[in-house]
Amino acid sequence: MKMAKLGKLALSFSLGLTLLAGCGGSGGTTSGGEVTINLGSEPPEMNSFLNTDSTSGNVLRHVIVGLTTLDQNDEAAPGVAESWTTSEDGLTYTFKLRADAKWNNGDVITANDFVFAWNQLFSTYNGADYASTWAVMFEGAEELMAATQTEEDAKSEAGQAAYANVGWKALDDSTLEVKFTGPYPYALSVLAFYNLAPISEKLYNEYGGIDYYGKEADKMAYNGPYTVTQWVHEDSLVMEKNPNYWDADSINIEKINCRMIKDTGAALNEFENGTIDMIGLNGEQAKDYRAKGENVQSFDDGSIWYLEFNTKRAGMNNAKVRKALTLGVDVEQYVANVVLNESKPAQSFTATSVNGGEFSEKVGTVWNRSNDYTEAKKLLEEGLAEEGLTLDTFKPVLVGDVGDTGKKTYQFVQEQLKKNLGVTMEIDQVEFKTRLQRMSDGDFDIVWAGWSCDYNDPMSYLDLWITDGGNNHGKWSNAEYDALIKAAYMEKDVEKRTQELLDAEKIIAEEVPIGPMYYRQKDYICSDKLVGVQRTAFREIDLRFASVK
Amino acid sequence: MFKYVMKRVCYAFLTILLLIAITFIMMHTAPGNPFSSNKATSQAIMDAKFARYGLDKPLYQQFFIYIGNVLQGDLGTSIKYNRPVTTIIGESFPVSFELGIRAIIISIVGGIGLGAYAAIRRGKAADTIAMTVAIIGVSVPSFIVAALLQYFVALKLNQAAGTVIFPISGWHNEMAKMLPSFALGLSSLATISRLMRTSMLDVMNSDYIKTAKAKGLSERTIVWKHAMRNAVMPVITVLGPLTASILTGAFVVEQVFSVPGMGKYFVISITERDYTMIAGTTVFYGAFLIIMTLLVDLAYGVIDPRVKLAES
Repeated sequence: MKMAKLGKLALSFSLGLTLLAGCGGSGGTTSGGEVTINLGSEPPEMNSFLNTDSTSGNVLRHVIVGLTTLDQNDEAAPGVAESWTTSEDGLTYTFKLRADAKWNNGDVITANDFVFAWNQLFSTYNGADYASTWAVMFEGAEELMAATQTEEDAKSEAGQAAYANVGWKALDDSTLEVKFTGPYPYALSVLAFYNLAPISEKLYNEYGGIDYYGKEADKMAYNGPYTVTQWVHEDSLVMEKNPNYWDADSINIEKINCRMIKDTGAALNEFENGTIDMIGLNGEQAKDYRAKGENVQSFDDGSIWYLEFNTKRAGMNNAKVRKALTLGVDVEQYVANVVLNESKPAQSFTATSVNGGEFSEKVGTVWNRSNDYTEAKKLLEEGLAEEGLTLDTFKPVLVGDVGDTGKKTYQFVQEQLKKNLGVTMEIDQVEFKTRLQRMSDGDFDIVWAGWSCDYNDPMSYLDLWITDGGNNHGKWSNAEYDALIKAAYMEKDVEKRTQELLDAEKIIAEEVPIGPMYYRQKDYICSDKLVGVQRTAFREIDLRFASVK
Repeated sequence: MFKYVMKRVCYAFLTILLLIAITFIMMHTAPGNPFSSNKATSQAIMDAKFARYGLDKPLYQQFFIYIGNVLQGDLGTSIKYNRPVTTIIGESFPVSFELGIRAIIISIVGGIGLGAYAAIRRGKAADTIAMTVAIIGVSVPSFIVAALLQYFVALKLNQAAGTVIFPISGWHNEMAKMLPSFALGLSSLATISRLMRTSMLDVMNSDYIKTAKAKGLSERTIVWKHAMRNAVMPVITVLGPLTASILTGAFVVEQVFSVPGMGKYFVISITERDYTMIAGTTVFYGAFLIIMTLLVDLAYGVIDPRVKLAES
């Protein structure tokens, strides 16, 4: 029994580690206005304020709209809010809601639907994973979180006072006032995020509250271009045009069938069979299709992959060593031979997909990678000497996930460091949850890790490395960096703010808390009939602007 | 008979209790927690989630609460999917069960037929072909069989025919169910056919068959009435474990054909540290297998009158 389980476990990894490839371009089914796409997996959570999963996000994007919504350029456009005004200090927004914004049952969406949803999001006892990420931005949200650890706390006087003092208020049914804690330039695009979408209190309770809301197709309310009309768990999900959506005329595709096929080989066979119009491709599949001259499309998924150094460990505590290890890997070779698609070597930390690449352009190329490793080697020797180490005593261990895909990556890094710098690095492949535990325990030398942003701003990357930041597993600490990030949080002057963030990037380049490797591209292919699919770092799958040819 | 069954049921109950205890200890000693993810969650939220699932209590308390709930038929809420474990099992087990039953029928009918036929045609071409098929079935892992079937029988046939004959994946209609059932049943089919052939050869060489032949009975009567009934006994013996392996081993086939069955939950629940799901699937399958074994043991008594349950 035990052995059988272990065997299955091993298989799950070899089969289950499919690249989360994209879906893109154009597909085509026979009947007019109906397409089938592969979601890749079951959406694990469809309650908008609880969700953090990208597959669920791909469905929610089509069925739920917040105050704002991301347009074709990933910029915030009016959603349920048709217009808004901003106070002089940039902290207070007053949103005017559309009169024709309705839930799928016909109820008009009111400002109270937002107040209710946000109160739920920031009530700690509900356990919304991203609550603390967003709480820093909204006035009264952190206080509310502190006062609502349990349901009893929430009902207490202090809890009720916290609810009364939050920075989001319904001035009347169609007017919502929101107070931010800083003049965030990305405030409006954050409001497009599904966590901050409205929820009708009446329907929420009717469907059974937190234990049931969003668990079945008919147990949640929709206000977006589509509604989920059928949801067979772990198998398929159907989205059909929502007649109550105010802008229904702009939506072309009548019906979107979503399959949940994990196995990339099976998905490919479905695509070849003409039964699925859009599938993601893994590196090898994309390479094959490209070689055949097929129209493989790709998008930058907003993730950067890097070596995270534990700056509390001998050797890794030295910036020269960290820099040498980063420069010692030929990332171009890595992308060409392991990733197998058009992913880009990282030129800085913040990914190029942010702000349409404007910020990355300003940062420029901070990593002068070359095939000449003499300088990197010199740096390494200096750094090791400073720490009283030699190449014989410095033997870092790279922690990564189990599975063949990861293994190829780790082995590549291992070979490169040996060949280019003479460093002997060992590999320790562990289960995903074990890796997370070891990262938060600081039980590693180097981890192969990745990050993708939550909102369209460099801050979504750069505030990772502040001292004691929850994601700063390497425990790197730099007072100057902390000060820059803190200043940028509250900076109203756009140019000054950009400069502060650029300076922060510069410190990363010098101090190397992490060694940037590459920005990931995902590949997908569409059938000839499906056109106009959009896929970006902020909208992994978006069929709102697509149509059937 | 009644006493025997009661005794077995008591043992079964104790076994399941032990199973839960071991599962509890093992899953809680595995590093990592069910709520950790790539992005850090604040400690307050983490605490709230632990409290929500009752994971903030001491382990022994969790254990007794869990046992109490199980006795009331409540397996808790899956941490990853946020839905009741009983609902998830209720949706996915019937699918896996149907897949398993189809595979078992294919393996029994095919295996007994192939084995008996090979035995009767011993040394002839039919025997060689049948046993070659059996060896392939035993040695090629089911995920390769599944992938090959999907590519050649489904995709290539559909493309050649210009229409969908066998769907590539899913569990939506009769044709979609065929390939996964065959892929899952093939290795058992092979095992059964080899066993059946050996057993059939033994029986065919025994004295009473010679007597039957001498009496001038037709070959059909000899094979069907006299030989098969005895030759099939060893096959029935392996049916228990074989059924268990088919019903629990469907993960790979389910994945390749995207069948919404239960297999994936065994694996995903462990990697995700979805405690309630790990315990739920283990209890459910544990109970299921124990009951199946009991039924197989009882079936002996019915099929073979020499086995007297009350005395054993």
